[in-house]
Amino acid sequence: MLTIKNVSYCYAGRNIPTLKNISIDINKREMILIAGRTGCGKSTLIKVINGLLLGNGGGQFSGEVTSKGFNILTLTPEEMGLLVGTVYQSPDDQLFAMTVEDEVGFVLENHGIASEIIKAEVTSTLKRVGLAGFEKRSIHALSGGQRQRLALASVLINKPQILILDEPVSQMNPVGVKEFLGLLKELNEVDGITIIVVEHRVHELAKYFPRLVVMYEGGIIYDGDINQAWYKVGDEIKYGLREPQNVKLCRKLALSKLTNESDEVISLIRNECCIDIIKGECEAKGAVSKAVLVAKNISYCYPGAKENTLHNVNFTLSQGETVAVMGYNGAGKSTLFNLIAGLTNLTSGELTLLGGTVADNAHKLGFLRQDPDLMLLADTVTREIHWHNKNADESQIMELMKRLDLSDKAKDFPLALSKGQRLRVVLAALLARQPKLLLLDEPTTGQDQQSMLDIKNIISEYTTSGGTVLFCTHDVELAAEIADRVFLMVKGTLLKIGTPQEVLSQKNLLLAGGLSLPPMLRISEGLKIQKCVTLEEVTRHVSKTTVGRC
Amino acid sequence: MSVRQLWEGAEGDNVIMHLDGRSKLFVLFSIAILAITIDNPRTLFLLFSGTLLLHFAARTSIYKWQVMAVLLLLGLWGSMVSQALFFAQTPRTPIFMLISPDFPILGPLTNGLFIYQEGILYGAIQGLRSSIMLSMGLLICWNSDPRQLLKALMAWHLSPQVAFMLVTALRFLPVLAAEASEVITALRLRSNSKVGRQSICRHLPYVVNPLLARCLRRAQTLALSVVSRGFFLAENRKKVVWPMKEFSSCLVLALVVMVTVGSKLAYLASEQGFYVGFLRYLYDWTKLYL
Repeated sequence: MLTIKNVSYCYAGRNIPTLKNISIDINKREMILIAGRTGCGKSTLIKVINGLLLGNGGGQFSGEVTSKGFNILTLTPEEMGLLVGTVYQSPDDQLFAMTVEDEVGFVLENHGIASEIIKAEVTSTLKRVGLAGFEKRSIHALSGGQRQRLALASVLINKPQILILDEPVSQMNPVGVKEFLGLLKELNEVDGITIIVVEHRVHELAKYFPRLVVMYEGGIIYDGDINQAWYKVGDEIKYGLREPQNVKLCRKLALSKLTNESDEVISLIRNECCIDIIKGECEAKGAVSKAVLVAKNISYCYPGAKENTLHNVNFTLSQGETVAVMGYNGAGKSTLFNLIAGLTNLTSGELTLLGGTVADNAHKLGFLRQDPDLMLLADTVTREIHWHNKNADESQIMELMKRLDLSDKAKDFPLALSKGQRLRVVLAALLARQPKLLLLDEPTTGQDQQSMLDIKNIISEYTTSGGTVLFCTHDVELAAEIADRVFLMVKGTLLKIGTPQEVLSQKNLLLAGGLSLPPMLRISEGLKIQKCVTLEEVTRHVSKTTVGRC
Repeated sequence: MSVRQLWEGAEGDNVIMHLDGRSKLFVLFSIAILAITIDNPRTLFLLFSGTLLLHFAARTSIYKWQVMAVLLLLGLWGSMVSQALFFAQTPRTPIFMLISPDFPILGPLTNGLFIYQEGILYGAIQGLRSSIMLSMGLLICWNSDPRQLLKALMAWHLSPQVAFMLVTALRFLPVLAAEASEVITALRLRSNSKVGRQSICRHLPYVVNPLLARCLRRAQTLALSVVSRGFFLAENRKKVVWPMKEFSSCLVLALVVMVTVGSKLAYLASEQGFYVGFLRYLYDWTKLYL
């Protein structure tokens, strides 16, 4: 359907090509997942596929891109739009009209289609993406997930043969991810559209995509069956692939096969490992000491709103703790963070921060917002880290940059870095001030495996040295791995506070919080051992020392 | 209502929203010409009141009225005060003395500081002009779909690229407003002092960098998105008929503008010596009302 042959591309003003001799065949009705470290050339490859590279940037291009033998590089962007539809990471950036029907009908209008036909097509496309009845709605009145569907509908109406989606689920909660990917699968199977998704969350998306393409430093280092990828590139940390936990477990237990299918993993463990159902009580993490933050019956109501966004929330955060706040989008997590950071004032209740009021002590905490770009203001990474940190120890800053893999970016313009790198720059700037409490809103969004490990290590070192971390995440695996406690928020209340084991192993709580089931919970249930949420917990019960294997 | 919502186009039905983009832009241009042409404060005030009536017709929300009132009053007040104090033309009539010319140090330095009657009037005229344009601009911004204006500009054979750039500014207004507020919040969070956490003003100089960088990135994505959706296939686009009623109303308005500008030009010419006797009544009318 589409053949990319020996394509190389070097952006104007750069010496190193972003794409190096890329060759790939895209077939009809395929679902392809493209992954790789940030800055490896995925976005540039997307522009090759959707034909928007040549008119953009003025770099050096070589190679061929053909469809059924025809050189598609000669097509205009409008003609390419009929072949390839692209949905970008942030739907807000690509929506143009004010109402849903105008947005979706925009492309047909541009092609001079009669208004009656446009209306019919808009209705059927909106139905296809689950937005039937939303025709007259303002695009501003839609939720994030609905806007993403609208962005999809706006290109889908053009009936493209290939649909490219750039990190489409990076801001969604697990339930939203599941629904959106279900929709993509349906479009692939029913309408025969080839789907190409660029995403870091390989561990979550693996079961939907039979084919995986892994990029590294501008080249393709793996292209094939996703189940075979784990053998070839899965354990290479430099490729930035975040393996599904099931695969990690198979690897850790040295099972005869690496698979993401839970039933198969359970069967393999039963056949190849020793299982000790009583062994290994989970050790409680974290030591409770001095209270850093105490919330007593705090409530908050937005001006003009009829209902409280937070209702009577009570908790205590102790020094050295790492606490994950989880729940649906709109459950009140960001509002809670804003209150702690002193950006808004309580409606009622009492919040004690570092032994005093929030107004007095809010400047002693560090708050990494979900969109780190807005916190970047300097010309170079070094200046960014020094901004308002003039008294910071130089050697400490160098060490911090080294640990966050930013040493070679010291002179770079922060806003020109990749998303993951930008986030790490802000994190470095916050940590350089040595805050007593660190608030992190979705710190691992858009991060590849290596960056995630760096952030996890930094958090661990920070808490070990007496810091306290409160972070907000949808990532069940991350919470299970690094959190001492989990706060589960539902509709502005704290539904449950407990250890990850207590909170994340209860299906009803996970359902209420819109969270996905930890893969290890399913495995532990299948093995009939104590409920586990992390890999380490499972391996306490399962031993790989079966005769002849190890 | 959030900062972002303030700049978003209004939802729902209202008469202004449903007007053809060409009608909206035509009225905007016409009123701009009238505001520049007219010097009479009473007529300018009537014109200004007319623009406010259009806001009533558009059912502008109370919050938006409040924001507009602040902007309008600030503009009017600023213009009147500055002109009242620093009016340099003659004749000028001091109606209040703030600093006497005999006052030590400041007196000789400033030659006295007075409130001038003519300055107040002149400031009011300038203030009303800017208020009329602000009010009309907000009306169009709050009640227009970017696509609607785009179609209007394209129908007037403006190049698609230029039309897109003009309309994108409107499309990004809510996003920019929201992001400016977000950037200030982020900057407050980067501050390591109690004062810095609470202050907004001290962070304003740093707002531009992140805002501009994000705008460029967003604009690029939007451009790619609309190009691949056939935006520049202008010749294919169906020609939308300008509704007859609106077209006729615009013609009447055009006539009003032409008469006003013509009268004003004739009056100015008469002042320069090009006096035509039978236009005496027009000169009187212009002097009284324009």
